[in-house]
Amino acid sequence: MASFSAIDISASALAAERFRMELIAQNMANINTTRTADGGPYRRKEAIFASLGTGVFSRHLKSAQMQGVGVAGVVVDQSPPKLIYNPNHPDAHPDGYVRLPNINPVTEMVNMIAASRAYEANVAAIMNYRKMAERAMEIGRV
Amino acid sequence: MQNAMFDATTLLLSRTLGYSLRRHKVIAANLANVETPNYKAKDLPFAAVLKSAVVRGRSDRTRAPHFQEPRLVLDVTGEVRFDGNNVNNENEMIKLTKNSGLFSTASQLIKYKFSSLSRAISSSRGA
Repeated sequence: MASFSAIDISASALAAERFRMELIAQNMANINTTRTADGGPYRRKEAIFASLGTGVFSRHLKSAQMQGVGVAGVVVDQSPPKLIYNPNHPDAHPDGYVRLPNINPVTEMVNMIAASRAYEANVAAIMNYRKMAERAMEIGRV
Repeated sequence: MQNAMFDATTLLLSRTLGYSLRRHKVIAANLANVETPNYKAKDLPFAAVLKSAVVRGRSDRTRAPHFQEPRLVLDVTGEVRFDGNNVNNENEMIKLTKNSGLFSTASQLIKYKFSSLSRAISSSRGA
C-alpha cells in the first residue's frame, strides 16, 4: 500500500541522521581551519532534510503520506567569519586579523545531541517493528 | 453455518493487526521526519477504525469483507516549531509503544484462538 515499508522509512532516517552527524563532525574538525580549496577560512555546513516521496508519481499513487526522509542538500552557513587579532599568523590579513571559521562549538554540540536522539528514536522504531514481526510469527506456532 | 476458524473474531483481530502495522508506518514516518522543515505529523486514529471494523465484523457472513482504508489525519497535538515542523518525539515514542502493545494483544488472542481449536481437534482424536 505504501512505496515505503516501515523498515525503509526508519532506515532512510538513520542514513539521513548519520549524514548530518558526519557534517557536524566535519565542522568540529575544521573549527580552526584557515585555508580551504575555495580560499578563505572553512565555512560551517549544514544538512537540509526533505520528506521523500513528494514527487508527482508518488502523489498519484496516493502513497505519499508515508514518507521517509532524505538529505535535500548541504548549505554553507553565510554568517561572517570570526576575527582574531594575530598579525604573526601566516593567514592574517594586512589589518592583522585572522579569519577563523564561523563555527560555534556549542551549536555543533547541541545539533549533535539532537541528531543522536533522532537516530535512537528511529532505531527504537525498527526494534519495535521487529518485535511486532516476531509476535506475528508466533501466531502460527500453536 | 458459522465457520469456527474464520469467524468474525478472527477477522476482527486480523484487521486489528493490519491497522496496527499501518499505524506503525505512519509513526515511523513521523519519527523519520522529526527534523524535516515544514513536515506535519500524521496519525491513523484508532476509535474510528475500530468502529468501522466492528460494524463490518458483525455484518459479515462468509465473504471476507472489504476493509475500508483508515483515513490519515494530521496530528495537531504537537506545537509547531519555528521550522514549521510539529513532530513531538516523546509523543511519537508513546504512540509507538501503545501501538506495539495493541499488535501483541491481537496476535496473542489469535494465537490462543488457534491453539484452542487445535486442542479441540486433537482431544477428539485421543478418545
